[in-house]
Parts: sequence; C-alpha cells; structure tokens
Amino acid sequence: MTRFIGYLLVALIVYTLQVSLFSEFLVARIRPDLSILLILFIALNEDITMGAILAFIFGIMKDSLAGGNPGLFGFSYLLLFFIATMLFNRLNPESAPLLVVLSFFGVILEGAFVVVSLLFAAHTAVNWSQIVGSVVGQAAATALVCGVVLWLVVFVREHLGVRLPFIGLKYLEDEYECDR
Amino acid sequence: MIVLILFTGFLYYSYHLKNRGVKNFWERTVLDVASPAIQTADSLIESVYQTVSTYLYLVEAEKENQTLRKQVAELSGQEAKYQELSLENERLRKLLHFQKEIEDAFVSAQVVGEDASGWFRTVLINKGELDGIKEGMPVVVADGVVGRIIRTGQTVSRIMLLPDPSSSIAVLIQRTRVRSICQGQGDSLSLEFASNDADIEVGDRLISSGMGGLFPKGVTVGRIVSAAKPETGFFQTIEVEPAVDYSRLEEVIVLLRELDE
Repeated sequence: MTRFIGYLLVALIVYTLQVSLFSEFLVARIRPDLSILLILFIALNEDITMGAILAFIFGIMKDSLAGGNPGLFGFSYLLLFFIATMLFNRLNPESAPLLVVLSFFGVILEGAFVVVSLLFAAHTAVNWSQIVGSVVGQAAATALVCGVVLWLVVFVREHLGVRLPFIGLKYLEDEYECDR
Repeated sequence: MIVLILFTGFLYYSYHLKNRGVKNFWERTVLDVASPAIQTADSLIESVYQTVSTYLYLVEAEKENQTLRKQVAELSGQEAKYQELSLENERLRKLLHFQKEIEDAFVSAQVVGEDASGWFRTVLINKGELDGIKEGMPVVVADGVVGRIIRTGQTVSRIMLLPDPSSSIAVLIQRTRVRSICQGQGDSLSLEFASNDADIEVGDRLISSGMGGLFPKGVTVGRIVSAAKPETGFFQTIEVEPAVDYSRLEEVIVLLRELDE
C-alpha cells in the first residue's frame, strides 16, 4: 500500500512538473514526457495486476490534466504497459541504451495510440500535424532525460557508494543475489 | 486477464466518448488533488525564475567596477521592475476596461498551467466550481475569444483554447456581416463553409456572431490572413490569425453564462 501511494505521489510530482515547469520553459515540441518513464519503471518492477492498475491510474491522471476524452490516455497507457512488460520479458532490461531507446519509442507509440483512439471519436477533430509534429521532438527529449537519469544513478553509485534501487539495474542485482 | 483489463480500459474510454456531459468523479478528484500542487509549483517557478534572473544579471555585472556595477544593477533592476509593473498595469487596465464593457457576470482567473501532453490546446486556471464556474462557460480576454471551460474542479478548471481542432465558434465577418464558422487548426484558425461568391478579403476582422448562444455577440475572434478560391468545390479555403496570443495568456475572464440545455 505504501508503495502504491508512493507511486501516486511520484506521478503527481511528474504531472505537476509537466503542467507547470516544462510548459513554462519548454515549447510543446521538445517537452519530455516523464510519465512514459514511469510506465517503463512499473513494467520492470511490478507484477501485471499492480502494474496495469498503476498504468491506468497514471493515464487517467494525465487525462485530467490534458485535453481529449476521459480514458484516452488511460487506455493508451494500459496498452503501453503490456507492450513494455512483454518486451522486458524477452529483451535484456539491464541495458541502459535499450531503456533509452524504449523510452523514445514509448512516446512514439503513445502518440500513435492517441491518434488511433481519437479516430474512434468520429465527432472529435484530430489535429494530425499537432501530434505528429510534436511527437518526435518529445520522444527525443524523453529519451535524453531517461539517459541522463540512468547516467546519474550509475554516477551516484560509483562515486558516492549509494545503492539506489533503480530501473533495469535492479534485475542485475537480483541475479547476483541469486548467485550468492 | 490482460484482455479483460484492456477491455475494461477501452470500455471506460468508450463510455466517456458517448457520455461527454457526464461528470467524471476520477477526473474531478485528480484535478482537485493536483490543484494545490500545480498552483504552488506555479508560484515557486515564478519566484525562482525572478531570483535566478536577478542572480544571472548580477553575475554578468560582476565584471564591471564595483560601485558602477551596483548602481547599474540597481537601476536596471528598478527599470525591469517598473517595466514589468507598467506592463502588468497596462494589462490589468485593459482587462478592467474590458470588464466594464461586459454585461454578463464574470470571474477573473489566472492561467497556472498548460496541457500535460502538449498535444491538445488546453490551459489550467486557478478558479473552479467554488467561484461559480461550470463546464461549457465561455472564456475571453480584452483581445478576444480564448475558449471554453471543459472540465472543472473545486478550485481549478481546464479551458479548451479556440485553436484546438475540437473547438469552433459561430462568427460574423465585421465588414460584410457574412456569417460563418471558425474552426481551430492547432496553431491557427480556419473559416469554414464560406462559399466561393462570398465577399471576403484578406484583413477582414471576424467577431463572434452570438449565434451559438455561448459567446456574446461582437467579441473579436481574429483576422483573415489568406483566402483562396479553389478551381473545384463550393467553399473558399480561408486561414484566420487568432486575435489572442495563446502562448502568452496570463489573466482571463470566465463569463458566467450557460447554454440552455
């Protein structure tokens, strides 16, 4: 329960940053989407049920703070979560470059899901140029943030000796724990 | 299990597509919970921005003579402050003057955040249901039409801006009194259903016609920047520049008028 509330608090901080700080200093075309990093994190660290519930809640939170119909991002994030879980079961999740690449394609996929989902609402006009024009820049900015965060975690571990449990790296350590 | 969860998510989305007017408990809760955080963050960012700006300015001036630097910094700081105050004064004066012209009851609000995704043209304001704001209410500034309220919390509301593709407004070309519909196109607007023989010129000013019943008649919407008559087809392709600079919205006015159901 504590972890669940912790996730919600982190999500609240992330969305507050996106709505206020990023929008103040960054144009929409290069604004990182930190919620995708949250989805990747829970896909790596949580089981299917808990992860799916969290992904849906993160999506609904985004729905409340963005345009579009309620459930649009909720559904998109559910799909993204399942795809990320499936990929992490097949690929090497402790590879930092892979996580950076996944964060990039996560935003692209999110954009694609949103566009497809909007198509279901025939009475809602879809601004293709707005989404398509922004999504690549946002994906690049998100991948950059993901890379910086991973680099920072490794740096802190190596130079300050602080063992931060973190995305991807957790798997590597679990493996060592098993070997011992 | 996965299919069931996905289906539930899809059902939720579909339900809200069909029942757009239905109050969404979850969304309202998120808005109410996030509202204090967003408003605090907005104030914090503003303070930090001011502090950092001042600090950066002082660092640059460090190279100068100590006395002169202090003097210059003080004078420049004062000038910037006066300039900011003057701009704010001008903005508020304009708003106040505009408020006097408005016949409807209204609420003034400040923009505290933008769209979380960056894919839709929406902004958050620091007033909500406690101030009498309801979904669907029109929002304006002295320069013209801003948009309409699409979601409300207790102390925060979300506005869909006019340039969003889901937005449209009934307009009147001021010079010729031709009626038409203005549709959002992301960054600009377009004039829809203007027949080829309609008298439309670049530079024509568009005002709200009041036909939809939502916006009062006569509020500026924009100005025609290009008009082309296609070789085939009945309607002209017309691009409209909005009267309001939506990237610089700070204070807005919510008109407390509702559409009759």
